[in-house]
Amino acid sequence: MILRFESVTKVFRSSLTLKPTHTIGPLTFGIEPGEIFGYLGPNGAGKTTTIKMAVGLLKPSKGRISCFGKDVTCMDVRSRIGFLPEHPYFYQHLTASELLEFYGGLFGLGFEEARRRAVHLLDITGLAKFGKRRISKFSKGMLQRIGFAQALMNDPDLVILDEPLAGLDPVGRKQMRDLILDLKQNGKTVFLSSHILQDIEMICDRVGILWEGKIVKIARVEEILDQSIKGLDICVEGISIESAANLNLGKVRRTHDGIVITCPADTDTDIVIQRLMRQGARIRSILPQRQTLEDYFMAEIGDLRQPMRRDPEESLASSEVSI
Amino acid sequence: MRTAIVAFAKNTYKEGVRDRIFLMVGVFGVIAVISSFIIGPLSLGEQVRITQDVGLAAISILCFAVAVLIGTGIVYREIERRTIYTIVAKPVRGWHFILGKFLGLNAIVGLLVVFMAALLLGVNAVVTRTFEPEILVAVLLTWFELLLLTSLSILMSTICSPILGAILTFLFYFIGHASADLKELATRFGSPMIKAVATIIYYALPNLEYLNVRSKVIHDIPVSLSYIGFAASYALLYTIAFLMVAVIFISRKEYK
Repeated sequence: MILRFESVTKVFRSSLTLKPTHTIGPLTFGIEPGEIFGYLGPNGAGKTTTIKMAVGLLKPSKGRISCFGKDVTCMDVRSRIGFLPEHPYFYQHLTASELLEFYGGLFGLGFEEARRRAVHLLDITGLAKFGKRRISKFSKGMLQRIGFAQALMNDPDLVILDEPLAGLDPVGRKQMRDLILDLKQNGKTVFLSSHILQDIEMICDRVGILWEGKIVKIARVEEILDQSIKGLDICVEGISIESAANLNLGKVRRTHDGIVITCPADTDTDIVIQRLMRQGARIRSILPQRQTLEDYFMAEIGDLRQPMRRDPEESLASSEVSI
Repeated sequence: MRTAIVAFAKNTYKEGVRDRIFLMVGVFGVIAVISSFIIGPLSLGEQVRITQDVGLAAISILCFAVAVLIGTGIVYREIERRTIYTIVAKPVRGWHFILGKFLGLNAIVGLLVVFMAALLLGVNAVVTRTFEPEILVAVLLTWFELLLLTSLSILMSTICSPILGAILTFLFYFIGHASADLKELATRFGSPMIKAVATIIYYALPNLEYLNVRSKVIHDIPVSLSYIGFAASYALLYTIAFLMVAVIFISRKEYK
């Protein structure tokens, strides 16, 4: 394991009464070398708190976090970690090159080495043209990219990214995904948090799902995604939506491409196609439907939400029964 | 370790000199020193003393203003704007950060001291038609006083907001320059309570008058090397103590 959380708990207390206000954990999980681990959860679940504990911004109330076999607060551990915080903010008075050289100095890099790496990182993050531009003039997407570049100044073995895709436009998200995948190809380990499930599905090897401060599931993405076909989306044109509905093949809806009929997975496609063609329909496409990470996530979270939605009297009754 | 301290110091210096406060105080400093040259002739034969007095006071007060206005926000802003998030995650310790900030802030203040002192020496040379390097003794001890005050400003910025920090540092400055007078005043009142408070203040806070030799220099009273050594050590001890407390505070901080 590159990064390991062992029964880590963080208790937040009221600054006046010192009574616990909320608790994250206990968290026990680990991140394997060379993988991209996605940390999922709704807002307020505790993703950022977990990451802050991993990089030393918060101290765990209980438990231990180790990285490369040592305590995460060790200086030689920190020199092997790259970190991009959520909504990064950098020194407005510096230019992009100066900023990266500054971070290079914090890693003990000499001026020439820091400058060489800064040039390289500006290049791979698409900011080569903006090296002399002040950070105060940077857009949100550019800030995210310069934040990504500073996280790589030390050529880290483990890169920790807190919501790296948040607030980016589709092009920016694609570029960021590609940069993260490049890290994996170069043998780096990535621990990232996000609530953009489609992106996580595309890039992560494993995911951990966090709900109200506790991990409810850790699995490989392909294990979570049901590979069996859940249904078939048959896109047709040349018939009316009413005619398609009258065939009773499945749920019918109109899209930009035509009329889409969602049939059960065990449908005999030959028979369906023949019936549609008899009505004068032309088949445009037949696509199998698979479960997405979003489907899975919503189902998991939905199950966990159920107890909260119960009638209070019912909850009381059930607790009385269990007693 | 060394490169991290240098990186913090350079960054603080760049931030300070690109700040409008620095430029404004610099311009005001030039006006203050030159105005001493203009108002000198109005003082009936005291032109030299007025020039030196106003010039040295301008160096002390304006550089103190820069130390407070920049220093009291120097760590607080890093926390408030969350720029510290990317720093804490790097292989740096609290003392690297505080020492780097201290050196950077003193580079800014030092630049202003050197610039204004050079200007004062020039104006004084025009007035007296001689070069009087004795003025530099007063400037040197003012610089040690500024070291102490910048360390206090940095300490304030680790524990409170810039406004509260500036108020407390200004209070400290005025009490520090009047602590002996306060003690003297308290003995005249005779109340044991007031006497006790004044004695605590006198011993707990540094007596900044030890670092004020301006009137001696202006009145050509020699300042011994041993006194300069004592005053400089006195300032450095407080400076180190303030920086150490600031390091303790920053090292124990959590960033929610």
